[in-house]
Amino acid sequence: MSRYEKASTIVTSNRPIDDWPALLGDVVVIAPLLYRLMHHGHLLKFDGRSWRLKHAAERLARRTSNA
Amino acid sequence: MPMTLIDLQKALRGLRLSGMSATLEARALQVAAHEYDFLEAFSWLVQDELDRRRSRLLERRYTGSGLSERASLTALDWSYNPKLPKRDVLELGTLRFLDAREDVLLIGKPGTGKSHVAKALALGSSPSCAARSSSSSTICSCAACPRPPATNSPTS
Repeated sequence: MSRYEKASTIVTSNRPIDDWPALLGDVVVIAPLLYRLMHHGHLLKFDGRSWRLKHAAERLARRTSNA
Repeated sequence: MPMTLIDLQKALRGLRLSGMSATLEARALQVAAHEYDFLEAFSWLVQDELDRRRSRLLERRYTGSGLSERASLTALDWSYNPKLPKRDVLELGTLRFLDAREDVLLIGKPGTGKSHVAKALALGSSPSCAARSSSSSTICSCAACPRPPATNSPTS
């Protein structure tokens, strides 16, 4: 958190924030970390279908049509 | 006594104007074909040098950023996933959050484009400061997480 209010940090996670304490262990450590991240932060939720699955499906389709 | 083309190119490279040196011959041909007058051709030469410097700078910063790919927001197919926060992402694309020293949390299911957006923002910010962003599937700002290289100090 040395970057707090000095530089921007981008964090990505596939777990909802509610799960973070359980995943990262110590609630005492996580709470202030999150507060600082969110203090001047933008929270964006990404939902919907997976690009990776789409790309994989396309590859599979190409392979079967070639065969 | 005018220099030959080869001497000129050498001199330009000596002056660290390799962008001009590289296109000199082609520009000279254009002038010979009366496509441009001297000033027009010269301004193109200067533009060639500026273009090369800019692309080299971006190249260096991309290499130094440690990013694994050149992600871009323009390449995103928004129609595939209408649930994505398009407006918010494009707003972040203006990079105003960097000046405000604000942080960004991208939360969501695997494969929905979080890391792609993070990389695109990091690359987009490269003219001012590359490698502001570190990204992985789950990350915190503890000591174990990747840090930007020391050479890319934040702009003040």
